[in-house]
Amino acid sequence: MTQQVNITANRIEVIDGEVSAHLDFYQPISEEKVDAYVAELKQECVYKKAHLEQLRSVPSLVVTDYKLLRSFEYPPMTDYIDGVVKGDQAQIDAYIAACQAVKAKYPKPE
Amino acid sequence: MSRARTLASILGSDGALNVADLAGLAAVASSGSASDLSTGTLPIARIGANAIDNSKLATTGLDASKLTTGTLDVARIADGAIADTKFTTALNQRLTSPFVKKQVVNRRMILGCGLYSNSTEYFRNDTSTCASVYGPFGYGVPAVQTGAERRFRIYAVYGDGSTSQGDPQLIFRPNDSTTNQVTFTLQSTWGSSANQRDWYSNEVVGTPWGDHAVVHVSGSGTANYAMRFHYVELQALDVWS
Repeated sequence: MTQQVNITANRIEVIDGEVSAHLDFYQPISEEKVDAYVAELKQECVYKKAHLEQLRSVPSLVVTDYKLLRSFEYPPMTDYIDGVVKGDQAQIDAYIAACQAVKAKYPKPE
Repeated sequence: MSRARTLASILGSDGALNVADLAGLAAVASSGSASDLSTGTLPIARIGANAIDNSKLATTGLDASKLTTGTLDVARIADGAIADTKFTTALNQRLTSPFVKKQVVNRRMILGCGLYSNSTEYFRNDTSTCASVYGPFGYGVPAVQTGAERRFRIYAVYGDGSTSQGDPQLIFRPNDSTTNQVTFTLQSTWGSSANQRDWYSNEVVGTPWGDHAVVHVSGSGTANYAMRFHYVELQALDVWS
């Protein structure tokens, strides 16, 4: 697929199918270096496409450790502490319920 | 003819034996030394071993300046002899390897320690705040080196649940204003936010601004997906083209 090059006042972007690369500029774009910038971005697109192919070729990591899975979904402990500080029993109960829901979602293997 | 007449004929009127009296012979050395050889070629065998030393080359000087063609053996170049002054362009600008064209000149740790952690989960559409940073493009960042271009990028250890939905982004807002905000885009994990990977973001050319920044987590695309950041580092680079 042909690479598409977009040049605006503060951005140079190269789009190559599914991947793209860009440079943002916070000072005037150096006109004499535009070709070099475009070449750099085209090369970055080549790297990205190769990397994308590599990512797709490897099956996703499947995590089975229930403790690890739970750890990512437990509500923040600060929610519980905040409820205690405020004396908000409803917030404390909500925290406990959320924890129980996570445990139920990822049960401990028998 | 008698021998006396023959001899007298050869000697001539002066009675002496001269070079001219010996027909068919070249000049005859009178002292027997090499200085008598005014023309002709001296066979190499007539030059003694080690006879030609530096003193015989005092005016011509057998040094590198006499080498107008050919290749100088590298062993003839002294250590440290080739300095930057020998290059019209500084040596570090002449290197073409991409691995030395970019030099990280400052690393600003912004979030996390890189370990696998139960970090906060963000979602593409909530642009939550993940850090507040004093002068991310100023403090500790050295002046741009001669001939270089200053750039900034993010190095992050993160995870996200996006495949083709979009890419995780970190947005630096000057004093939390969306005006002139700087967006660094990473690459989707093609997995889930429960796992982790690392990546370098796009680069921003120049120094955006000197304000303090609030950093938001967002994402490209329109579909929602979850993200976790275990480590975020802002890097200042000097890049030579």
